[in-house]
Amino acid sequence: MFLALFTVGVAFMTLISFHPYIPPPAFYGTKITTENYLSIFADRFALFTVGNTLILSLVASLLTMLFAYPIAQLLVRPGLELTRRLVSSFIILLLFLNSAVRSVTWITILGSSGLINSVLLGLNIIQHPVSLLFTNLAVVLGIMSSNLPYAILMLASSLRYVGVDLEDAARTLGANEFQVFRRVTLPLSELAVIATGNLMFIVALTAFVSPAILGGGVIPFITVNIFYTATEALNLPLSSAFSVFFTILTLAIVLIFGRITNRFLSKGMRMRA
Amino acid sequence: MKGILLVTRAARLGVKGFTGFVLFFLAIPLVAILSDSFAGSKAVILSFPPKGFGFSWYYTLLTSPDFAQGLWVSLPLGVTASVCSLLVALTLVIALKRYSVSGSDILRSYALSPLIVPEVVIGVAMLQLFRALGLFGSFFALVLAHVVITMPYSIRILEATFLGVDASLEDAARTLGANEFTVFRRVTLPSIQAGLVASFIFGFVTSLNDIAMTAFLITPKVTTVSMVIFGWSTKLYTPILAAASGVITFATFLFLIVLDRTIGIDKATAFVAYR
Repeated sequence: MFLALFTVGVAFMTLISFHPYIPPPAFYGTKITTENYLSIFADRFALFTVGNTLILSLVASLLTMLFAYPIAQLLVRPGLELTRRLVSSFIILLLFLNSAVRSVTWITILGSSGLINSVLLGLNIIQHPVSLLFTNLAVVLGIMSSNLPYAILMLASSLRYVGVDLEDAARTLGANEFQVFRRVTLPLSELAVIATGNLMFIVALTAFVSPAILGGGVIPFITVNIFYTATEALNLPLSSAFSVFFTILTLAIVLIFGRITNRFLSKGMRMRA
Repeated sequence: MKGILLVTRAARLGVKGFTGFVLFFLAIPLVAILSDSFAGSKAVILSFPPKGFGFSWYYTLLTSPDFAQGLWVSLPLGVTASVCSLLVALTLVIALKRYSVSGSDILRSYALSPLIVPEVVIGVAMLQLFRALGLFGSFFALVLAHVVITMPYSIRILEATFLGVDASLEDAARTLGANEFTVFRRVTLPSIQAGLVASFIFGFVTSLNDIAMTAFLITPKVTTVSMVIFGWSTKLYTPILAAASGVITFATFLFLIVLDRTIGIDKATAFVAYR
Protein backbone atom coordinates (compact mmCIF):
# COMPACT_ATOMS: atom_id res chain seq x y z
CA MET A 1 0.00 0.00 0.00
CA PHE A 2 2.82 2.38 0.92
CA LEU A 3 4.61 1.55 -2.31
CA ALA A 4 1.45 2.25 -4.26
CA LEU A 5 1.09 5.59 -2.46
CA PHE A 6 4.37 6.82 -3.89
CA THR A 7 3.66 5.57 -7.41
CA VAL A 8 0.11 6.89 -7.48
CA GLY A 9 1.33 10.22 -6.12
CA VAL A 10 3.97 10.63 -8.81
CA ALA A 11 1.55 9.52 -11.54
CA PHE A 12 -1.10 11.95 -10.29
CA MET A 13 1.47 14.77 -10.18
CA THR A 14 2.49 14.05 -13.77
CA LEU A 15 -1.18 14.10 -14.79
CA ILE A 16 -1.80 17.47 -13.10
CA SER A 17 1.28 18.94 -14.77
CA PHE A 18 -0.69 18.69 -18.05
CA HIS A 19 -3.68 20.63 -16.71
CA PRO A 20 -4.06 24.42 -16.68
CA TYR A 21 -3.86 26.51 -13.50
CA ILE A 22 -7.10 27.71 -11.92
CA PRO A 23 -7.11 29.69 -8.65
CA PRO A 24 -8.10 27.75 -5.49
CA PRO A 25 -10.22 25.98 -4.39
CA ALA A 26 -10.28 24.23 -7.78
CA PHE A 27 -6.44 24.41 -8.21
CA TYR A 28 -6.45 22.92 -11.73
CA GLY A 29 -8.69 22.77 -14.77
CA THR A 30 -9.82 19.75 -16.73
CA LYS A 31 -8.41 20.64 -20.16
CA ILE A 32 -5.21 18.90 -21.33
CA THR A 33 -2.40 21.36 -22.06
CA THR A 34 1.37 21.63 -22.27
CA GLU A 35 1.39 25.30 -21.24
CA ASN A 36 3.08 24.60 -17.88
CA TYR A 37 6.07 22.98 -19.55
CA LEU A 38 6.24 25.65 -22.23
CA SER A 39 6.21 28.36 -19.56
CA ILE A 40 9.30 26.82 -17.90
CA PHE A 41 11.24 27.08 -21.15
CA ALA A 42 9.82 30.48 -22.09
CA ASP A 43 10.40 32.03 -18.68
CA ARG A 44 13.80 33.72 -18.39
CA PHE A 45 13.69 33.48 -14.61
CA ALA A 46 12.95 29.74 -14.63
CA LEU A 47 15.88 29.09 -16.96
CA PHE A 48 18.12 31.32 -14.86
CA THR A 49 17.04 29.32 -11.80
CA VAL A 50 18.06 26.06 -13.48
CA GLY A 51 21.44 27.50 -14.51
CA ASN A 52 22.11 29.01 -11.08
CA THR A 53 21.21 25.73 -9.37
CA LEU A 54 23.55 23.73 -11.59
CA ILE A 55 26.47 26.16 -11.06
CA LEU A 56 26.02 26.44 -7.29
CA SER A 57 25.73 22.64 -6.97
CA LEU A 58 28.86 22.15 -9.04
CA VAL A 59 30.89 24.65 -7.01
CA ALA A 60 29.53 23.27 -3.72
CA SER A 61 30.29 19.66 -4.62
CA LEU A 62 33.82 20.43 -5.86
CA LEU A 63 34.60 22.32 -2.66
CA THR A 64 32.98 19.55 -0.60
CA MET A 65 35.34 17.01 -2.16
CA LEU A 66 38.37 19.26 -1.65
CA PHE A 67 37.49 19.73 2.02
CA ALA A 68 36.43 16.11 2.61
CA TYR A 69 39.56 14.46 1.23
CA PRO A 70 42.11 15.41 3.93
CA ILE A 71 39.65 14.64 6.74
CA ALA A 72 38.82 11.25 5.22
CA GLN A 73 42.55 10.51 4.99
CA LEU A 74 42.96 11.56 8.61
CA LEU A 75 40.23 9.09 9.62
CA VAL A 76 41.85 6.10 7.91
CA ARG A 77 45.52 6.81 8.75
CA PRO A 78 47.09 4.88 11.60
CA GLY A 79 48.33 6.87 14.59
CA LEU A 80 46.74 9.78 16.44
CA GLU A 81 44.13 7.45 17.91
CA LEU A 82 42.55 10.06 20.20
CA THR A 83 42.34 12.79 17.55
CA ARG A 84 40.78 10.35 15.13
CA ARG A 85 38.23 9.15 17.66
CA LEU A 86 37.26 12.77 18.47
CA VAL A 87 37.09 13.87 14.84
CA SER A 88 35.02 10.88 13.77
CA SER A 89 32.58 11.33 16.68
CA PHE A 90 32.18 14.98 15.77
CA ILE A 91 31.57 14.16 12.09
CA ILE A 92 28.95 11.58 13.07
CA LEU A 93 27.24 14.12 15.33
CA LEU A 94 27.07 16.53 12.38
CA LEU A 95 25.76 13.77 10.12
CA PHE A 96 22.76 13.13 12.36
CA LEU A 97 22.16 16.77 13.26
CA ASN A 98 18.93 18.32 12.02
CA SER A 99 19.46 20.00 8.66
CA ALA A 100 17.65 23.20 9.68
CA VAL A 101 19.96 23.51 12.67
CA ARG A 102 23.00 22.98 10.47
CA SER A 103 21.92 25.82 8.20
CA VAL A 104 20.89 28.09 11.06
CA THR A 105 24.39 27.82 12.58
CA TRP A 106 25.68 29.77 9.56
CA ILE A 107 23.52 32.78 10.46
CA THR A 108 25.80 33.41 13.47
CA ILE A 109 28.77 33.46 11.10
CA LEU A 110 27.36 35.32 8.08
CA GLY A 111 24.64 37.49 9.64
CA SER A 112 24.92 41.27 10.00
CA SER A 113 26.19 40.88 13.59
CA GLY A 114 27.81 37.51 12.93
CA LEU A 115 31.43 36.46 13.31
CA ILE A 116 32.71 37.73 9.96
CA ASN A 117 31.09 41.15 10.29
CA SER A 118 32.27 41.44 13.92
CA VAL A 119 35.85 40.72 12.89
CA LEU A 120 35.78 43.06 9.88
CA LEU A 121 34.15 45.86 11.87
CA GLY A 122 36.54 45.33 14.77
CA LEU A 123 39.56 45.60 12.47
CA ASN A 124 38.06 48.73 10.91
CA ILE A 125 38.17 47.16 7.46
CA ILE A 126 34.53 48.01 6.92
CA GLN A 127 32.42 50.75 8.54
CA HIS A 128 28.99 49.15 8.09
CA PRO A 129 27.99 45.48 8.23
CA VAL A 130 28.09 43.78 4.84
CA SER A 131 25.25 41.46 4.01
CA LEU A 132 26.57 37.95 3.50
CA LEU A 133 23.32 36.10 4.10
CA PHE A 134 20.97 35.54 1.17
CA THR A 135 23.85 35.36 -1.29
CA ASN A 136 25.12 32.62 -3.57
CA LEU A 137 28.12 32.32 -1.23
CA ALA A 138 25.87 31.62 1.76
CA VAL A 139 24.01 28.92 -0.16
CA VAL A 140 27.25 27.25 -1.27
CA LEU A 141 28.65 27.32 2.29
CA GLY A 142 25.40 25.90 3.65
CA ILE A 143 25.25 23.06 1.13
CA MET A 144 28.93 22.29 1.67
CA SER A 145 28.71 22.08 5.41
CA SER A 146 25.57 19.95 5.22
CA ASN A 147 27.14 17.50 2.79
CA LEU A 148 30.67 17.38 4.18
CA PRO A 149 30.04 14.84 6.98
CA TYR A 150 28.39 12.54 4.48
CA ALA A 151 31.21 12.94 1.93
CA ILE A 152 33.90 12.40 4.57
CA LEU A 153 32.39 9.16 5.83
CA MET A 154 31.74 7.81 2.32
CA LEU A 155 35.28 8.63 1.21
CA ALA A 156 36.78 7.20 4.40
CA SER A 157 34.88 3.94 3.98
CA SER A 158 36.40 3.45 0.50
CA LEU A 159 39.85 4.78 1.35
CA ARG A 160 40.11 2.27 4.16
CA TYR A 161 40.87 -0.37 1.53
CA VAL A 162 43.66 1.58 -0.14
CA GLY A 163 46.09 0.77 2.66
CA VAL A 164 49.25 2.55 3.68
CA ASP A 165 51.63 -0.31 2.83
CA LEU A 166 51.96 0.77 -0.79
CA GLU A 167 52.76 4.32 0.24
CA ASP A 168 55.41 3.07 2.64
CA ALA A 169 56.83 0.90 -0.13
CA ALA A 170 57.06 3.93 -2.44
CA ARG A 171 58.79 5.90 0.31
CA THR A 172 61.27 3.10 0.88
CA LEU A 173 62.00 3.17 -2.83
CA GLY A 174 62.93 6.84 -2.51
CA ALA A 175 59.77 8.69 -3.55
CA ASN A 176 59.16 12.04 -1.89
CA GLU A 177 55.78 13.03 -0.40
CA PHE A 178 54.58 14.66 -3.63
CA GLN A 179 55.47 11.61 -5.69
CA VAL A 180 53.83 9.29 -3.16
CA PHE A 181 50.66 11.33 -3.30
CA ARG A 182 50.62 11.78 -7.08
CA ARG A 183 51.71 8.30 -8.10
CA VAL A 184 50.28 6.10 -5.34
CA THR A 185 47.65 7.68 -3.07
CA LEU A 186 45.73 9.67 -5.67
CA PRO A 187 45.44 6.95 -8.37
CA LEU A 188 44.30 4.46 -5.75
CA SER A 189 41.63 6.76 -4.33
CA GLU A 190 40.55 8.13 -7.73
CA LEU A 191 37.51 5.90 -8.03
CA ALA A 192 36.28 6.67 -4.51
CA VAL A 193 36.68 10.38 -5.17
CA ILE A 194 34.77 10.24 -8.46
CA ALA A 195 31.94 8.11 -7.05
CA THR A 196 31.55 10.27 -3.95
CA GLY A 197 31.84 13.46 -6.00
CA ASN A 198 29.05 12.35 -8.33
CA LEU A 199 26.78 11.60 -5.42
CA MET A 200 27.62 14.92 -3.76
CA PHE A 201 26.61 16.78 -6.89
CA ILE A 202 23.21 15.08 -6.91
CA VAL A 203 22.77 15.66 -3.17
CA ALA A 204 23.64 19.36 -3.67
CA LEU A 205 21.27 19.65 -6.64
CA THR A 206 18.35 18.26 -4.64
CA ALA A 207 19.21 20.17 -1.44
CA PHE A 208 16.35 22.21 -0.08
CA VAL A 209 16.98 23.35 3.48
CA SER A 210 20.27 25.27 3.01
CA PRO A 211 19.16 27.12 -0.15
CA ALA A 212 15.83 27.97 1.49
CA ILE A 213 17.26 29.26 4.79
CA LEU A 214 20.53 30.81 3.64
CA GLY A 215 19.22 31.95 0.25
CA GLY A 216 16.31 33.66 1.98
CA GLY A 217 14.03 33.13 -1.02
CA VAL A 218 16.05 35.55 -3.18
CA ILE A 219 18.68 33.15 -4.50
CA PRO A 220 17.18 31.19 -7.41
CA PHE A 221 17.32 27.46 -6.69
CA ILE A 222 15.09 24.82 -8.32
CA THR A 223 13.87 23.14 -5.12
CA VAL A 224 13.09 26.47 -3.44
CA ASN A 225 11.29 27.66 -6.56
CA ILE A 226 9.15 24.48 -6.58
CA PHE A 227 8.37 24.99 -2.90
CA TYR A 228 7.17 28.58 -3.26
CA THR A 229 5.22 27.81 -6.43
CA ALA A 230 3.38 24.98 -4.67
CA THR A 231 2.82 26.42 -1.18
CA GLU A 232 2.62 30.20 -1.61
CA ALA A 233 1.58 30.84 -5.20
CA LEU A 234 -0.57 27.68 -4.89
CA ASN A 235 0.06 26.97 -8.56
CA LEU A 236 0.00 23.17 -8.37
CA PRO A 237 0.13 22.48 -12.14
CA LEU A 238 3.23 24.64 -12.63
CA SER A 239 5.02 23.20 -9.59
CA SER A 240 4.15 19.70 -10.85
CA ALA A 241 5.57 20.46 -14.28
CA PHE A 242 8.72 21.87 -12.70
CA SER A 243 8.96 18.77 -10.49
CA VAL A 244 8.65 16.40 -13.45
CA PHE A 245 11.27 18.40 -15.36
CA PHE A 246 13.56 18.44 -12.30
CA THR A 247 13.24 14.68 -11.77
CA ILE A 248 14.09 13.98 -15.41
CA LEU A 249 17.05 16.38 -15.19
CA THR A 250 18.35 14.65 -12.05
CA LEU A 251 17.97 11.16 -13.50
CA ALA A 252 19.66 12.26 -16.75
CA ILE A 253 22.63 13.63 -14.77
CA VAL A 254 22.86 10.38 -12.76
CA LEU A 255 22.90 8.37 -16.00
CA ILE A 256 25.47 10.62 -17.70
CA PHE A 257 27.74 10.54 -14.66
CA GLY A 258 27.44 6.77 -14.55
CA ARG A 259 28.47 6.56 -18.22
CA ILE A 260 31.44 8.89 -17.75
CA THR A 261 32.63 6.99 -14.68
CA ASN A 262 32.38 3.69 -16.53
CA ARG A 263 34.29 5.00 -19.54
CA PHE A 264 36.89 6.49 -17.25
CA LEU A 265 37.21 3.17 -15.44
CA SER A 266 37.65 1.04 -18.54
CA LYS A 267 40.23 3.52 -19.87
CA GLY A 268 42.08 3.34 -16.56
CA MET A 269 42.05 -0.46 -16.70
CA ARG A 270 43.52 -0.45 -20.19
CA MET A 271 46.23 1.97 -19.17
CA ARG A 272 47.20 -0.14 -16.22
CA ALA A 273 47.14 -3.38 -18.19
CA MET B 1 68.62 16.61 -1.02
CA LYS B 2 68.12 19.28 1.62
CA GLY B 3 65.83 21.18 -0.78
CA ILE B 4 63.60 18.14 -1.25
CA LEU B 5 63.38 17.58 2.49
CA LEU B 6 62.37 21.20 2.96
CA VAL B 7 59.70 20.93 0.28
CA THR B 8 58.42 17.72 1.88
CA ARG B 9 58.20 19.38 5.27
CA ALA B 10 56.45 22.41 3.80
CA ALA B 11 53.97 20.14 2.03
CA ARG B 12 53.26 18.21 5.22
CA LEU B 13 52.74 21.43 7.11
CA GLY B 14 50.44 22.69 4.35
CA VAL B 15 48.31 19.53 4.48
CA LYS B 16 48.14 19.72 8.27
CA GLY B 17 47.18 23.38 8.12
CA PHE B 18 44.45 22.70 5.57
CA THR B 19 43.09 19.77 7.59
CA GLY B 20 42.96 22.04 10.62
CA PHE B 21 41.19 24.70 8.59
CA VAL B 22 38.51 22.24 7.45
CA LEU B 23 37.92 21.07 11.03
CA PHE B 24 37.65 24.70 12.08
CA PHE B 25 35.21 25.32 9.21
CA LEU B 26 33.04 22.43 10.42
CA ALA B 27 33.18 23.32 14.09
CA ILE B 28 32.97 27.10 14.22
CA PRO B 29 29.31 27.55 13.16
CA LEU B 30 28.17 25.05 15.77
CA VAL B 31 30.39 26.57 18.47
CA ALA B 32 29.12 30.04 17.57
CA ILE B 33 25.46 29.13 17.72
CA LEU B 34 25.81 27.12 20.94
CA SER B 35 27.53 30.02 22.67
CA ASP B 36 24.86 32.38 21.35
CA SER B 37 22.14 30.23 22.91
CA PHE B 38 23.33 31.56 26.29
CA ALA B 39 22.96 35.16 25.15
CA GLY B 40 21.28 37.61 27.49
CA SER B 41 17.60 38.47 27.22
CA LYS B 42 18.40 41.86 25.64
CA ALA B 43 20.08 40.30 22.58
CA VAL B 44 17.64 40.63 19.70
CA ILE B 45 19.53 39.07 16.84
CA LEU B 46 21.81 36.06 16.39
CA SER B 47 25.31 37.45 16.87
CA PHE B 48 28.83 36.35 17.54
CA PRO B 49 30.37 37.15 19.96
CA PRO B 50 27.12 36.76 21.96
CA LYS B 51 25.64 39.77 23.74
CA GLY B 52 25.17 39.22 27.47
CA PHE B 53 24.71 35.95 29.30
CA GLY B 54 21.74 34.06 30.61
CA PHE B 55 19.35 31.18 30.05
CA SER B 56 16.42 33.34 29.05
CA TRP B 57 16.32 32.10 25.46
CA TYR B 58 16.10 28.50 26.63
CA TYR B 59 13.23 29.59 28.85
CA THR B 60 11.57 31.38 25.91
CA LEU B 61 12.00 28.28 23.75
CA LEU B 62 10.72 25.75 26.27
CA THR B 63 7.66 27.84 27.10
CA SER B 64 6.90 28.55 23.43
CA PRO B 65 3.57 26.97 22.45
CA ASP B 66 4.83 26.46 18.85
CA PHE B 67 7.76 24.35 19.97
CA ALA B 68 5.57 22.27 22.30
CA GLN B 69 3.01 21.78 19.54
CA GLY B 70 5.76 20.67 17.15
CA LEU B 71 7.06 18.10 19.63
CA TRP B 72 3.52 16.93 20.29
CA VAL B 73 3.22 16.00 16.59
CA SER B 74 6.83 14.97 15.89
CA LEU B 75 7.26 12.35 18.61
CA PRO B 76 4.14 10.24 17.88
CA LEU B 77 4.71 10.77 14.15
CA GLY B 78 8.28 9.48 14.35
CA VAL B 79 7.30 6.42 16.39
CA THR B 80 4.27 5.51 14.23
CA ALA B 81 6.04 6.06 10.92
CA SER B 82 9.14 4.10 11.87
CA VAL B 83 7.16 1.18 13.32
CA CYS B 84 4.99 0.99 10.18
CA SER B 85 7.99 1.23 7.91
CA LEU B 86 9.81 -1.44 9.94
CA LEU B 87 6.88 -3.86 9.72
CA VAL B 88 6.32 -3.36 5.98
CA ALA B 89 10.05 -3.60 5.25
CA LEU B 90 10.40 -6.74 7.36
CA THR B 91 7.57 -8.46 5.51
CA LEU B 92 8.99 -7.39 2.16
CA VAL B 93 12.58 -8.42 2.92
CA ILE B 94 11.50 -11.84 4.22
CA ALA B 95 9.32 -12.32 1.14
CA LEU B 96 12.18 -11.30 -1.17
CA LYS B 97 14.56 -13.66 0.60
CA ARG B 98 12.18 -16.61 0.76
CA TYR B 99 10.80 -16.41 -2.76
CA SER B 100 13.70 -15.40 -4.97
CA VAL B 101 11.64 -15.65 -8.13
CA SER B 102 12.20 -13.62 -11.28
CA GLY B 103 9.98 -10.76 -10.17
CA SER B 104 11.78 -10.16 -6.88
CA ASP B 105 14.44 -7.89 -8.40
CA ILE B 106 11.77 -5.68 -9.91
CA LEU B 107 9.85 -5.61 -6.64
CA ARG B 108 13.04 -4.62 -4.81
CA SER B 109 13.89 -1.75 -7.17
CA TYR B 110 10.26 -0.68 -7.03
CA ALA B 111 10.38 -0.57 -3.22
CA LEU B 112 13.59 1.46 -3.28
CA SER B 113 12.38 3.86 -5.98
CA PRO B 114 11.57 6.77 -3.61
CA LEU B 115 15.34 7.10 -3.11
CA ILE B 116 15.98 8.24 -6.68
CA VAL B 117 13.32 10.95 -6.77
CA PRO B 118 14.28 14.29 -5.17
CA GLU B 119 12.51 14.63 -1.83
CA VAL B 120 10.96 17.97 -2.78
CA VAL B 121 9.27 16.23 -5.71
CA ILE B 122 7.85 13.57 -3.36
CA GLY B 123 6.52 16.51 -1.36
CA VAL B 124 4.73 17.99 -4.38
CA ALA B 125 3.29 14.58 -5.30
CA MET B 126 2.05 13.86 -1.78
CA LEU B 127 0.60 17.37 -1.41
CA GLN B 128 -1.62 16.89 -4.44
CA LEU B 129 -2.57 13.34 -3.65
CA PHE B 130 -3.62 14.27 -0.10
CA ARG B 131 -5.52 17.31 -1.34
CA ALA B 132 -7.40 15.14 -3.83
CA LEU B 133 -8.14 12.50 -1.18
CA GLY B 134 -9.17 15.12 1.38
CA LEU B 135 -6.43 14.02 3.79
CA PHE B 136 -4.33 17.18 3.54
CA GLY B 137 -3.36 18.64 6.90
CA SER B 138 -4.09 15.48 8.89
CA PHE B 139 -1.70 13.60 11.14
CA PHE B 140 -2.54 10.43 9.21
CA ALA B 141 -1.31 12.00 5.96
CA LEU B 142 2.00 12.87 7.60
CA VAL B 143 2.39 9.26 8.80
CA LEU B 144 1.74 7.90 5.28
CA ALA B 145 4.22 10.32 3.69
CA HIS B 146 6.89 9.65 6.31
CA VAL B 147 6.60 5.90 5.76
CA VAL B 148 7.27 6.52 2.05
CA ILE B 149 10.61 8.22 2.80
CA THR B 150 11.73 6.01 5.70
CA MET B 151 10.93 2.64 4.14
CA PRO B 152 13.82 2.49 1.64
CA TYR B 153 16.23 2.90 4.56
CA SER B 154 14.46 0.22 6.58
CA ILE B 155 14.69 -2.14 3.61
CA ARG B 156 18.41 -1.46 3.15
CA ILE B 157 19.18 -1.96 6.83
CA LEU B 158 17.13 -5.15 7.11
CA GLU B 159 18.63 -6.57 3.91
CA ALA B 160 22.11 -5.98 5.30
CA THR B 161 21.05 -7.62 8.55
CA PHE B 162 19.56 -10.69 6.87
CA LEU B 163 22.85 -11.29 5.05
CA GLY B 164 24.29 -12.08 8.47
CA VAL B 165 21.61 -14.64 9.31
CA ASP B 166 22.82 -18.21 9.05
CA ALA B 167 20.13 -20.08 7.10
CA SER B 168 21.47 -23.42 8.28
CA LEU B 169 20.47 -22.52 11.85
CA GLU B 170 16.89 -22.07 10.71
CA ASP B 171 17.05 -25.38 8.86
CA ALA B 172 18.49 -27.05 11.95
CA ALA B 173 15.58 -25.75 14.04
CA ARG B 174 13.12 -27.05 11.45
CA THR B 175 14.78 -30.47 11.44
CA LEU B 176 14.44 -30.51 15.21
CA GLY B 177 10.70 -30.10 14.77
CA ALA B 178 10.12 -26.38 15.22
CA ASN B 179 7.28 -24.88 13.22
CA GLU B 180 7.73 -21.74 11.08
CA PHE B 181 6.55 -19.40 13.81
CA THR B 182 8.87 -20.92 16.41
CA VAL B 183 11.78 -20.76 13.97
CA PHE B 184 11.13 -17.08 13.41
CA ARG B 185 10.68 -16.28 17.09
CA ARG B 186 13.52 -18.36 18.49
CA VAL B 187 16.14 -18.31 15.72
CA THR B 188 15.58 -15.56 13.15
CA LEU B 189 14.39 -12.81 15.48
CA PRO B 190 17.31 -12.94 17.93
CA SER B 191 19.81 -12.76 15.08
CA ILE B 192 18.19 -9.74 13.41
CA GLN B 193 17.57 -7.82 16.64
CA ALA B 194 20.32 -5.25 15.99
CA GLY B 195 18.93 -4.57 12.51
CA LEU B 196 15.43 -4.04 13.89
CA VAL B 197 16.72 -1.56 16.46
CA ALA B 198 18.78 0.23 13.81
CA SER B 199 15.83 0.39 11.43
CA PHE B 200 13.56 1.80 14.12
CA ILE B 201 16.07 4.42 15.26
CA PHE B 202 16.88 5.51 11.71
CA GLY B 203 13.23 5.72 10.76
CA PHE B 204 12.54 7.80 13.84
CA VAL B 205 15.42 10.20 13.22
CA THR B 206 14.67 10.51 9.50
CA SER B 207 11.08 11.36 10.31
CA LEU B 208 12.03 13.79 13.07
CA ASN B 209 14.58 15.61 10.90
CA ASP B 210 12.71 15.69 7.61
CA ILE B 211 12.00 19.09 6.13
CA ALA B 212 12.27 18.84 2.33
CA MET B 213 9.10 16.77 2.02
CA THR B 214 7.26 17.69 5.22
CA ALA B 215 7.41 21.39 4.26
CA PHE B 216 4.71 20.71 1.67
CA LEU B 217 2.38 18.85 4.01
CA ILE B 218 2.08 20.90 7.17
CA THR B 219 -0.59 23.36 8.25
CA PRO B 220 -0.33 25.89 11.11
CA LYS B 221 -2.15 23.38 13.32
CA VAL B 222 -0.36 20.15 12.39
CA THR B 223 3.35 20.86 12.16
CA THR B 224 6.57 19.11 13.21
CA VAL B 225 9.34 20.40 15.42
CA SER B 226 11.78 20.58 12.47
CA MET B 227 9.27 22.65 10.56
CA VAL B 228 8.81 25.00 13.53
CA ILE B 229 12.56 25.64 13.54
CA PHE B 230 12.58 25.96 9.75
CA GLY B 231 9.72 28.47 9.92
CA TRP B 232 11.53 30.55 12.54
CA SER B 233 14.74 30.46 10.55
CA THR B 234 13.09 32.10 7.55
CA LYS B 235 11.50 34.98 9.43
CA LEU B 236 13.12 35.69 12.78
CA TYR B 237 16.77 35.74 13.70
CA THR B 238 16.55 35.96 17.49
CA PRO B 239 18.63 33.71 19.77
CA ILE B 240 15.56 31.47 20.18
CA LEU B 241 16.99 29.73 17.10
CA ALA B 242 20.26 29.27 18.98
CA ALA B 243 18.43 27.80 21.97
CA ALA B 244 16.53 25.44 19.64
CA SER B 245 19.84 24.43 18.05
CA GLY B 246 21.23 23.80 21.53
CA VAL B 247 18.33 21.53 22.50
CA ILE B 248 18.44 19.64 19.19
CA THR B 249 22.23 19.22 19.35
CA PHE B 250 21.99 17.89 22.89
CA ALA B 251 19.19 15.48 21.90
CA THR B 252 21.23 14.27 18.90
CA PHE B 253 24.19 13.72 21.20
CA LEU B 254 22.09 11.61 23.58
CA PHE B 255 20.67 9.67 20.64
CA LEU B 256 24.20 8.87 19.42
CA ILE B 257 25.13 7.55 22.86
CA VAL B 258 22.06 5.27 22.81
CA LEU B 259 22.94 4.18 19.28
CA ASP B 260 26.51 3.41 20.35
CA ARG B 261 25.32 1.33 23.31
CA THR B 262 22.79 -0.67 21.29
CA ILE B 263 24.35 -1.42 17.90
CA GLY B 264 27.70 0.35 17.90
CA ILE B 265 28.30 3.69 16.29
CA ASP B 266 30.52 2.42 13.47
CA LYS B 267 27.96 -0.10 12.30
CA ALA B 268 25.22 2.51 12.53
CA THR B 269 27.21 4.99 10.47
CA ALA B 270 27.90 2.39 7.82
CA PHE B 271 24.13 2.12 7.24
CA VAL B 272 24.01 5.82 6.37
CA ALA B 273 27.34 6.19 4.62
CA TYR B 274 26.60 3.42 2.12
CA ARG B 275 23.75 4.27 -0.16
